[in-house]
Amino acid sequence: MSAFNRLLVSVLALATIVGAAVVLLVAVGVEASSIASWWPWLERRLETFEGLDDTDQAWTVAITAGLIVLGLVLLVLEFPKPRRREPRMTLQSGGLGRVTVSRSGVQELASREASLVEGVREFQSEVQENRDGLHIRGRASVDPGANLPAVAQQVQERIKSAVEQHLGVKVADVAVDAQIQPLTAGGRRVR
Amino acid sequence: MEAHGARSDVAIARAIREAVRRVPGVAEIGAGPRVVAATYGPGERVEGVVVRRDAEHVDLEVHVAAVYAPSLSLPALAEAVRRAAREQAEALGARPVRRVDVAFDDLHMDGGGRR
Amino acid sequence: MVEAREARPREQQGAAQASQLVTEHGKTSISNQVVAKIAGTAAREISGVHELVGTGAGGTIAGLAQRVTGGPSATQGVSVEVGEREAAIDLSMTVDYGVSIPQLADAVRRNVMDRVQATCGLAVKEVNIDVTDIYLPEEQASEQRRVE
Repeated sequence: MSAFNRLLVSVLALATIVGAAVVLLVAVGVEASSIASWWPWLERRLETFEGLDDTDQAWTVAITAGLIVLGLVLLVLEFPKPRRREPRMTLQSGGLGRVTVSRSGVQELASREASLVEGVREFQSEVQENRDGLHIRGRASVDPGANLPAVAQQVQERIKSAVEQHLGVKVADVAVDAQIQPLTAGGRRVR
Repeated sequence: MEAHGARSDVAIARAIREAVRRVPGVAEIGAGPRVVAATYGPGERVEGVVVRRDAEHVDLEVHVAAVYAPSLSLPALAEAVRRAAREQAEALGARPVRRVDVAFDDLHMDGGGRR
Repeated sequence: MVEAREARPREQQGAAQASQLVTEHGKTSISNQVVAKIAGTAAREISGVHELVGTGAGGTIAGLAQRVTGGPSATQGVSVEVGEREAAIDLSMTVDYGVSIPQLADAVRRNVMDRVQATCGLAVKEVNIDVTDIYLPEEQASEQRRVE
């Protein structure tokens, strides 16, 4: 979505929230004159919500509360920006152009390397870039009976060398959380 | 060649189209992703070739799809197209030709045989 | 195939090439589609590039179209910006398992720049390369299994 659309939706959502909140306040008993004495037109509109009977008041509260929630949802949806991680990692950004690689691709590579280690059934990883290199954290489901520390170490080594080979970027740390896979989970990977 | 006395713009455009099509490396004239310019006349239009005349000069515009080859050079091909178009126009009395703009709208990757 | 009648020495790149495109005999314009096809072909030639792939919604649609028509479109995964004398090119690709992405990217960039320069007479300012996936050998095997 373009920045303009984003802005427009955000402004509309804010306006909805503010408008609904004002009506809600009046409906629950705040004097219209105390909110909008500076704008007679608005004050007159708001006065219609003063002293409603019980049914109307309940409806008004429900509808305005719903609008506020809707506005908040829209606002939240419009700001997924501070996502913790970009979907792509930059490997080079020289004068002749950038080289980027998708984070999911790197994670898949790490998962594949890990799953090639005997005893590993499944591996899920997360990749983060720090100044000292990549930090890869992962959770391995390991066959019962496997030697956990040995498996974890092999997983670390495989991931480090594969990622360094493919990306040409130093891997500073691979943290593996290895857990024995419960027998009941029927280790089929194909759904 | 349509070298009767008339030599309307469409007739010149048609002759240029034929001449340019014979240039090695040219796959098609007037084919491309967008609707290209054309020369219009009674009952017919010639797509891909535009003939513009003023009192003193003739300006031409040719839209070409080229055939891809690893050794392809579009500037060199443009020069060949330019030459063919100019010679044909001047042979039909549309002279002097001042400019021939060549637009490469598309590229045929498979030797131009398909499609 | 084409006689290089006007061929100037290749060393005179940059301004010299650009002036070939705009001369007093007329202007030569090259559509984005043409530049994209040339760049895509040059990128695909490099061993280790698995496929050029579109991204986002456009990529999904292109991918569907590709499945229907059975062949990758020549401009898929390539977007170009062409000015009168310069071009910038963005490539989006999957690479084979086992390659070094930085080295592969250098080779792709060099081939694309050389080819676009030689073919179009356009100086390529930058080639941005996005690797969307690393093509794992087992993916092919499992795809085949699903088909059986």
